[in-house]
Amino acid sequence: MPSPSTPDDVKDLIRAVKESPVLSAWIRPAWHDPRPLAEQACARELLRWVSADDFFDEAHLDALQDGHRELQLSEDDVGLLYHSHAVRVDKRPEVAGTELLLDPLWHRYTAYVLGATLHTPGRTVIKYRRHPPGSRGFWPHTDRDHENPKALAVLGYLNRGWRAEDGGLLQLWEMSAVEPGDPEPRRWDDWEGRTLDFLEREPSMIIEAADVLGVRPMRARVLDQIVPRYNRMVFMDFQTTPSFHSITPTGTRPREGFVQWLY
Amino acid sequence: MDRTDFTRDAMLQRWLSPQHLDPTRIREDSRCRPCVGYAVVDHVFRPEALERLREAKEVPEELLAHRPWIHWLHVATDMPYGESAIAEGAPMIIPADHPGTQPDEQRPVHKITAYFHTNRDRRAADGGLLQIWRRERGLLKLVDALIPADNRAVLLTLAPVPIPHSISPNRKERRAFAIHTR
Repeated sequence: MPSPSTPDDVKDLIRAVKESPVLSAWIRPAWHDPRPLAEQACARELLRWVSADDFFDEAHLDALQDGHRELQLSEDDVGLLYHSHAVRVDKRPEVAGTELLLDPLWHRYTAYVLGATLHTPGRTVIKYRRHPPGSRGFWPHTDRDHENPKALAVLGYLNRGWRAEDGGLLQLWEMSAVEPGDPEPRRWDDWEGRTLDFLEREPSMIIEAADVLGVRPMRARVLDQIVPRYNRMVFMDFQTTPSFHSITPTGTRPREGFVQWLY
Repeated sequence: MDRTDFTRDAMLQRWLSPQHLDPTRIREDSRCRPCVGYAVVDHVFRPEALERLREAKEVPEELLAHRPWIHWLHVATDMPYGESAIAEGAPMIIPADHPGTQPDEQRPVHKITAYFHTNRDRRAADGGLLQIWRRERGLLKLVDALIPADNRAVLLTLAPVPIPHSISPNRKERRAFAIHTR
């Protein structure tokens, strides 16, 4: 399913969003027109992403969060350097929030924002996620997948009053090839079970980033750090750019949100 | 002022979208940016305030003189505020076919520069992107390229180290108001 490419296509999308009982209820009117988001994502050549604040109707988002807290989460990505607890909900239409996240029009909307093509429309994975207090963080990685190519990720945050010092910042990285004379990379194998505190201190580094087929040394330069504040959405593309990202360790607060991948 | 003073201020209520009355939210974005402090605020003004700004030929006086507003700018950018802080500003109209500007790293007089953009239906292809740079190992490297979208504010801190920023080649008239504090 290609993104709308003509002015009439996008006008149809906007009209459909406004007329959809699901999307118009969930998404605040200021964001019914996805074009400003799409233009900002397009302007970012190094890493195609965009964020939108105050995105959802708060009553709906609060219901999603209340539902989130009733779910049984378990440790996710066991054995990997991505410390969180999560539960998949894409096969559970009774869970609050899935009426939006499973809606094909929502998929069209997010694909348009990122200029992505959904080669497997309808296919999605949704996880409700919680990083516990003192979580170790997420190693720099791309969500690109060789066997099941992801088109994009949508991240939604549920953390009222989150401060930069609470940690859990989403970091976005520009990766490039290592060069002769570069120091030895920070190695994946050296950090099992350890808090990834270096992410908080080093805006550039040589590191074995987790790429499509495994870890490999790369020059990493952090482009931005994003506070996971309540009702902030982040849209991240994996077709145009690999969109390497990581998450810094959390402090004393749990960090809650959801991630959705489309294919 | 604490956050309730900002949310109760009549002038701020006339201008700012309700979700932005408390600047501490924006402050956290400024704080978390690696090495450079800036914040991007979408839907910054109420619709009627945005229309007042579109029609203004100069920066409206209350956006330069109102002390809680100047204080708001300092909190949003995580800059220390003193009662002696003053604001000055001017409209910025960049014509189509402008070649853009180079990043400026000279230590400026100002502490904060805030750009308030009023460009309807702005597209990436129109150019005039506000580019944010960071100096790394002696080289200026691009960290972000921001569309001067309608009702978007970009708040930059210029002290103690100025954020190098520039405007990419412009292809469509580009309008903004710049407010600086010192």
